[in-house]
Amino acid sequence: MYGSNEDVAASGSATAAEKAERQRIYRTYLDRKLGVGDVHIYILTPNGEPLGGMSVGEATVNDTNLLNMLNGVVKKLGSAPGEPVVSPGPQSVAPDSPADSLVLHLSARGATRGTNYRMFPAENWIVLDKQEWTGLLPAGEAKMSETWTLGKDLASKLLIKFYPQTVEITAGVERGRIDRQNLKLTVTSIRDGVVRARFDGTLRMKHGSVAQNEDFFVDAVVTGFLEFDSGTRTIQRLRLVTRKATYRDEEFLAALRSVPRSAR
Amino acid sequence: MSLSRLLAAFFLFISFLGFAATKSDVDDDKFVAWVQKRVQEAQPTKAERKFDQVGWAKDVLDAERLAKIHNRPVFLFTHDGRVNWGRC
Repeated sequence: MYGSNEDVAASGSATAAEKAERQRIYRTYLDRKLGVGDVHIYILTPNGEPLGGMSVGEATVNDTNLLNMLNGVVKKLGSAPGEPVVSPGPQSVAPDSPADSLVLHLSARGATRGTNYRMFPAENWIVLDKQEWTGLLPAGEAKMSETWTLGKDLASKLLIKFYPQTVEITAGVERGRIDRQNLKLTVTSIRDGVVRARFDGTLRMKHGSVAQNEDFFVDAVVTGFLEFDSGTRTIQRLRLVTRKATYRDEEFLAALRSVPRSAR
Repeated sequence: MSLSRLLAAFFLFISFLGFAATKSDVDDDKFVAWVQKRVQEAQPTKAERKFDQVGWAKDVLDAERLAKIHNRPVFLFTHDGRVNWGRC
C-alpha cells in the first residue's frame, strides 16, 4: 500500500480511522527507535506490528537493499509465494467527472532521464466542464484562417502543469505563477464537418519545486491542434505540446491530450 | 489572346489552386503527425509503468485486513505528493 502524507494530515481526505492507524504506526516506530520518515517504507505484521523499515534513501541507493530486507521478512515469516491479493491495475487514472466534461491527460518529462526524479514522467489530469471547454471554440461558425485567443483562465488551466518532474511536497497546492501566457487557435482545415485549428502559444511561469519563493522559471513555446464538429460544436481531439521548453535551464517535453470517455 | 490560350491559362490556374489546396492539407496532416509523435514521446513507456504491476491496497486499513486474511505482511510506503503521478 502507498499513501500520501497529505491525505492523513489533519485537513487530509482520509477517514479518521485511516489517519489514526497511520499515526499509530508512525508513533510505534518512533517510540521503538526503529526509524521513521515522511518518505519511508514500513513492513508490518498482519496485526500492524513492526517487522522492518527503511528510508527511501537507503532503499534507492542500490538495487539490493530493499530486496534483501523483503527477502529477510519472507524468510522470517516463512511466507509462501502466491498471487497478489489485490489485482494490479493502472495507478494513474482519470478522475470521476460529468459525462459532458473534457478530460485531459498531461505527461511531462525532463531531458535528463534515469536519475532521481527522472525514472518516469510526471502526470496530471485536468478536467474542463462544458462551460470551460466551450471557451476553446470560436464564437460563431468557423472559417478558414480564422484566429481567436483563449481567455486567461482557460489558457492557465491548460498550461499550469507544463513543467517537468520536480520535488512536490503538497501536490494539491498550486505553486505555479504564470507571468506571461498567450494561446491562440487558427483554423487550418474544414473537412467533412470537422474543423481543425492549430494552437500556437508561449508561456513564462515561475514554479518553485519545494518552497514558494524559489526563482525557477518555465519558458515554453507550445503548439498543437484542436478538432471539433462544426455542427454539434463538440470537441473530438485536443493535443497541445511543447515545441521548445526549459525549466531551470533543462529542456523538457510536455504533452496534453484529450482522453475520450471510452478510453478512461 | 486566343480562346484556346485563355482556356489553357484558366485550367492551369484552376489546377494550381487545386495543387495549392492539396499541399496545404498535406502540410496540415504532417503537422498533426508531428504533434502526435511528440505526444507519444511524452507518454510513460511500459517499462516506466512497472508501478502498475503491483497489486496495491487502497489504504492501510484495507492492507491490514487483507494481510490478516492471507497471513501476509504489509508493505507500507509513505510519501509526499502523488507518487502514482510521478509528482512527489
